[in-house]
Parts: sequence; C-alpha cells; structure tokens
Amino acid sequence: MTATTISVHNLTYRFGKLTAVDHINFEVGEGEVLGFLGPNGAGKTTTVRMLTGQLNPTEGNVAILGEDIHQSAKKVQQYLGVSFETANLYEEMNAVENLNLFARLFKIRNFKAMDLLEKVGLSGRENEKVAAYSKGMKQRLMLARALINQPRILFLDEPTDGLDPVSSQTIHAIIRQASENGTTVFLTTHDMVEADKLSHRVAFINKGKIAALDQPSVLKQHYGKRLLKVEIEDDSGRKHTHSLPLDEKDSAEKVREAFASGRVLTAHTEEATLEDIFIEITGRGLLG
Amino acid sequence: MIGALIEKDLKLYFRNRFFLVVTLLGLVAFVALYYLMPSKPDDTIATAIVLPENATSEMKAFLSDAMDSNLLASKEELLEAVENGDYQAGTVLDEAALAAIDQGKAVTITVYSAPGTTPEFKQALISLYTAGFNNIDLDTGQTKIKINDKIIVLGPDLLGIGEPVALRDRILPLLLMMMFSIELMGLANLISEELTQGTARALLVTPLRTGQFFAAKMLLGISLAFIETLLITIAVGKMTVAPVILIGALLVGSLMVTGVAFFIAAFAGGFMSVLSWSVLFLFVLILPGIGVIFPTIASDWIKAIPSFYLVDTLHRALNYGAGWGDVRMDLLILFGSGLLFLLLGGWVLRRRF
Repeated sequence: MTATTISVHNLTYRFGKLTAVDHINFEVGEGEVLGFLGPNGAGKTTTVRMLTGQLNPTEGNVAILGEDIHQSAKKVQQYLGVSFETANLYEEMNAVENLNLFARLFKIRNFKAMDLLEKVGLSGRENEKVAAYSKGMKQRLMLARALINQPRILFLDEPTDGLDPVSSQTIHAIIRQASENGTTVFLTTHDMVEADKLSHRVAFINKGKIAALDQPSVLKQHYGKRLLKVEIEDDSGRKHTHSLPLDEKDSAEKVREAFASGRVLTAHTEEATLEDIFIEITGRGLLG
Repeated sequence: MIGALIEKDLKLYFRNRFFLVVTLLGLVAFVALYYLMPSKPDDTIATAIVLPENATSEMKAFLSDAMDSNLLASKEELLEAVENGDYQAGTVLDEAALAAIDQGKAVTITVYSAPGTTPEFKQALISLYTAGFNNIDLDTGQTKIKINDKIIVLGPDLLGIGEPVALRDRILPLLLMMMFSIELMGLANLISEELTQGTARALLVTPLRTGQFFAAKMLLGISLAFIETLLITIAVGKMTVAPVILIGALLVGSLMVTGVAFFIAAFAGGFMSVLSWSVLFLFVLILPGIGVIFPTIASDWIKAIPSFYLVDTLHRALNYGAGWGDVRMDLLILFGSGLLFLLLGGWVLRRRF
C-alpha cells in the first residue's frame, strides 16, 4: 500500500441552495493516477478547487500530504502542480518568461526553463509570444508550468481537450512518467479512453456525489457485459451477426452453436467502455 | 515574490501598445500644453469711449488715464473696433448724458461688448463703468470719493489677492489629474486581465499569498503614477516650489488613483469595460481641476469628489505658497478616500478569484 497523498472526508460545497459537491469521500495514493470523471456541472471543478485550496468547503475536510489544505494552503501548494482547463498564461510574454515567473514564485534556484520546454516539445518556440501559440502548445506550456516545482501532486483539468493526437500523446507520456516518479495525478477528463488508458482508478461523479470509484477493469467486470461478436455466413450465402454474452451459464454452448451454424467470417470480443458503465450507473451521458 | 510580480506587470504594462503610447503621449503632451499656456495672467481690460465735443480736457484725460479707455472719434468707429475685438468693451456718452451726470441724475449708458464676452466679464464691465462714472467730478476730472482700499489677509495669502495666477499654473493640477487618470486606466486593465484571463488563479495556487498579489499591484500602481506625475512637475519646473508637499501630495494622490483602479478592476470585465468605467471616473475626477481654471463652476458639491483634495493641495501649494498646516487636512481626506477605494476594490476582487 502506497502512502496516501490526498484524503477527502465528507467534502461538501454549496452555492446557496445548490449542493455542488455532496459529502464525497476518497483517498489517492502516492504515484497513483485517479481519473475524475463526470458530465458538465457534476462538481468536478468545484472539487478540484477545494482540493487545491482555492475554495473553502462548506463541510468536510481535505488532507493533502497529511496537512489540512485550508489551514495550511500556502505550505501545501508548494508541492502542488495545477494545470487548468482553459489556458491562463501571460499571452504577451514568451514561454520562458512565463515559466521563469512561476519558478520565482516557487523560489526555485537555477531553474532551467529550456529543460521543461524540451520535455513538452516546445523548444525552438520559446521566444515567441504565447499569444501566437496554438491551443495544443498552450496546453503543453501549462503542463510545463505545473511541473516547475516537481510537484508531489499534479492536478490536471482536461489536459488534452481538443488537442491533436500528437499533443495528446506527449501529454500522456508526461503523465505516465510523473506517475512512475511517484507523483500523484488527479486527472479530470471527459475523455473516457484517456481515463481508461492512464488511470489506476477512476471515480464517477454525478450531481455532486461519487457514483463509483474503482479500477477501470474492476468496474468493467462489475457493471459491464463481455460479448463475443461473430459474423457467420450460412449455406445460402447470407450473413448473420451474433452478439453472444460471455458471462452467462450457457455462454459456451451458445458459442459452439454459433460456430457450427455456418462459416465464421469474423469473431471478436467486446467489453463495456467506461462511458457505457457511467451511463449504466448514473443514467446519463458524460456530456449531458 | 512581490518583486517578481512587479517585474512581470511592468513588462505587460509597457508591452501593451495602447498604454505605452498613451502614457508617453500624455507625458509629452501635458508638458507641451503647460508651456503653450500663457505664462502671465492677462488682467487688462481694453475699453474705448466716445465723448461729445464739449467734454473738458480734464475729463478726457481722466477717462483715458484712470479708466484706461481709449478715446475714439465716432460711434461708428467704436462699434467697428469693438466688434473686431480691438476692445473688449466701449461706450458712447452724448451731451445729454454728460449733463445728466453733472446734475446728479440717473443715466442709462449702453455698453457695447465684444462677441463672446462671458456673463462674468459683462458684470465686471458694468461695475467698472458704474464706479467710474459715479465718481467723476465733471469739472475737475478727478474722482470724488477717496477710499484707500486695504485688505488684510490673516494667514497665508491663499486667495492670492493682488496676485493673479497664470493660466498655465491654473491648468497644472488638471494636467496632473489627467496623467493620474491614464495610469489609473492602465493599472485597472492589468488587474482586470488577471481575472478575465484566469492568470490570478494560476498565481494563487502557488505559494503566493493574496495579500502579496495585492501588494504587488498596489506598489506598481503607486510607483508608476508617482513617477509619471513627478516627471511632469519636474519638466514644468515646479519641483522647487514646495517640494516636500508636492512629493507628499503626489504620493497620496497615487494611492488614491491606485485605489480607484482596484475599484474599477473589481467591477470591470475586459479591456472595453475597463475603458468605459475609467472614462466615467475620469470625468468625475478631473472636475476639481476644471474648477481651478473656471472657479465659478465649482461650489461646495465639488468637495465630495476625492480628487478635489489633491487638486486643492497642489493648487494652493504650487500657486499660493500654502504650507503643511494648510493642506494637512486635504491630504488626510485624500489618503482616507484612497484607502477606502483600495479596501473596497480589494474586497470585491477577492470575491471574484
């Protein structure tokens, strides 16, 4: 068992009469990537803002690295890296100036901006104003900014939203590397495939409550159905497609029957996606 | 950390072409405007008069000397000269009028004034002619009533009795307020952009404290406003006049405009919004400066505008030699209002993070 870096207990936030986050509880370990999934307005951003000390909870508490974030926000923030959903960089400054500013705020001596820029694939563009950057470049620069202090916990809010595959791959690689180096990654995303690929565990948040929290494979096993899809051509040349559940008592017999009914053209297994599971658990889609 | 933020804000301020141009233009234009204004007060009134043939030589001498009126030959000549602006006013006295004055009877005299004469100036002309004609001894051409006017000013001569102020010196407080207003707009925009672009949130999830964020903005705002207005006062050669009061007033004034900038930034969202709010505040803040140039437009309500206390301090210290004792209360009120704006703006800004 790895050390707990984030511990959330009964965390609640209310905007007037609206409860945005409703008594949620979870823990995240060192080096773990937790995918935090939910539709718009589910309470993801409010949760992140409370976890990073930007917002005081209405109820409950958050311990980050063993410290209450709201009592020791500035002490804890020394060890956090935060990348926001929308680009919030100084557009009239170049990449190096942006990074150097934050390095000074973290009091990092001998900071080498170029090393980080190289890591996120921005070397060669370091002297251009950020205003001239594409969305993907800005996202990568924000990730570089979040990594300045070699954070023990990295909060990433939709880090690959709307990015091209190359930019997304770069960011995925950095997330994996950070996790391997022991950094906890709190990943907020709409992208189920991304969450599935990167997360050790995923949490589904819906209407302010955590609807499910586990490893993707466990969730799939628990909620999803595995299917075998078989395309068969019969004696008259007609094609039939069969979806055969694999987790039922008579699954083996049904598969045998299907294979014996004609010439098998294609056969492949299918398992539920995280999105399917989310819909099954919450009754609503992620974009809803 | 505060130093890093100030350095960053300075870069951003001067990389914004609009504010760079407006600031430099303001510095040059306001100094140029000062020097273009008359350096000496114009307190002369040029008048003309037409007298009948039988006017005594004593009277002619009195009118042209004591009343400083030029004698013209005919009414037609006088009307043309006044209309052309050669004289600010003129009058025609016929024989009947002179006779009536001689007998001590009431006389109606028509005074012709040049186009564009202000009501205040017309009133001054009426007083001038009434006093002049009422006191003429038509036989001797001497004034009949002898009054030795003497005004004793208690304390510093703040009204400058007998010492009119040149237009360029009257306009200086307004020019300084205009420079302050440019700075106000620039700072409000810098703060507002931190909110609208979300950079303030990025800063505040680092070890940087909210108080440090505000302190950096405040120090930058005060420094820029102070240096810019100080440059103007140096360029117009006023630094030697009451330098300590001047520096104090500019510093407290800088605090006031920084406070107003916080206030504007707290409510504005984006560049155009900052501009709109700033123009609104600018119109109000420069009113006391305009009041110095045109004293008749201002009454007690103008004291409700915080910038009055800055303009009043500058005007009295630079133009009338006021000392600390005379401007202390002004500066205290100015400091208080600046602090109030800062706290209110800071409080609203904090809620927007």
